[in-house]
Amino acid sequence: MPFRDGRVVVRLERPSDYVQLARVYTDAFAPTTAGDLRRVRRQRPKEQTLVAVVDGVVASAVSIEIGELLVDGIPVRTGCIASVATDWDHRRQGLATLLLREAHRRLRARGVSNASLFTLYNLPAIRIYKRFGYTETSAWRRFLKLYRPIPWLEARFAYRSNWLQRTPFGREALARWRERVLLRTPEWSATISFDGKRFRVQSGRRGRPTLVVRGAARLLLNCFGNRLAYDAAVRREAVRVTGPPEASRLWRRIQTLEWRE
Amino acid sequence: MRVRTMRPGELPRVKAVYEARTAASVGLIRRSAASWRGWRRRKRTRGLWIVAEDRAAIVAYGVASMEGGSGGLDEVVWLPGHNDAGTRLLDELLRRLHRRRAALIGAQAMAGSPLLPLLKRTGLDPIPEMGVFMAAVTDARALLRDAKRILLARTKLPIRLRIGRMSVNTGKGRPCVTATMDARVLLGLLLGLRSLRVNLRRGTVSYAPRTGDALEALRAAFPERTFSIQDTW
Repeated sequence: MPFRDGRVVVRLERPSDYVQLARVYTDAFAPTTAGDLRRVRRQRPKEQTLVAVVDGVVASAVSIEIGELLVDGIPVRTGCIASVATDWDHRRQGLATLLLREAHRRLRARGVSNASLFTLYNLPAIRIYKRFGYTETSAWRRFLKLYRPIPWLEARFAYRSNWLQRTPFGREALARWRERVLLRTPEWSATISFDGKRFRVQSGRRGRPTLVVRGAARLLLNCFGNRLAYDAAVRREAVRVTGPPEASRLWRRIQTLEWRE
Repeated sequence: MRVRTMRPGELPRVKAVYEARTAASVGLIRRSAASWRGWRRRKRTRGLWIVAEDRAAIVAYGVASMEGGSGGLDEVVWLPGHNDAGTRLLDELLRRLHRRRAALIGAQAMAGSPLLPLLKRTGLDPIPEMGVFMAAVTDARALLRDAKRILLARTKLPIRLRIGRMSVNTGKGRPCVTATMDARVLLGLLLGLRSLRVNLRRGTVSYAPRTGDALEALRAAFPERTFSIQDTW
């Protein structure tokens, strides 16, 4: 049953919400379309998504599904919490808190003893999770190795060439972007240029770069599509960006695909 | 032992390896038949399902994937007691990904995963850790019910678990130990996210009577296990 908290209505999502929900997910995670959402929902029919609607606009969402963690082979039901996302303009208004409280209430009503989720250490949402008692934790360990940097970068920028042209913010950014960026690591370097339609990746230094991005290869590649990793690496000076500030700001957006400050 | 590509129709034998592993670990999730089938059909894993066979029995399996020129080591699972199979499968998956000219190879494992020591030896670079699994109690009474089922399977000794004013007895007869703790501590102990030894030392778990037998019963109920999960949601 939907419930109202002031201007906010909390209810289960409807297919007609997908366009607005895609915008919320794009703000929070990565470029998402309504079509992507329809496909994901078909793949996970048991998952329920709760949305917070503010003045008729979907502003926040939380997905829940009941899964089973196996303890020595014995199933323990757990509420799998996923896709906690809030539209940029509605953050810090308690919407995620409202949705999580409702998600926990639904889990309790079904006799589920616990809830679990995956998140990143440096996301602001971790504060909300801790407030809700998500204190029992275990960390992922990740390993990466880049063997052929140029083909890998080509694939990343082919995605950006296609995707950014399809979004208003991407088109606006690319209309102004004519910079040449040199990525330099101790092992290799590559030049990224843009011809007005597509990004081009070339090995080594080509021409005079506007921006130079220096850092260890594993840190540079970890920054692709990950604003938090990018900001952390730049703050620690593990990745150094030299060039005009406006170009640096736009590059950050192109590399991390994060469009809001 | 022979490492080879998984054949059509071998999915039930691979599932059996996963299920045997779940019986000896904490945190893996129950996978539906549909999720196995969906995973097996995924284009990006084509030719990258391999198995280790020992005397006609599948003792381990591994899966990798290739997408957008990048390779990923998705999962390597072996039956308890066949650790060498894990190393062999990991090497073979890396070899196959290199042969497909993977521009990048990535892997991840949870801190308590048996795969972690093997991954450290592959030559892949560790990157700063960012991801974390988090769990919270939603219903303490339901948690006590879950705890009872688990403890009954682990030990025949009757134990009383107490969270605040709620308590539950496992087994029949007079409890040989009463353990008192917060609900979140109980969840952590059950899932292998906390250690009984550490929590006894910190005083977040207390027990009575304070005898050696009572402590042994508690150790049997909460053996030192580490949480490890392969799936995300």
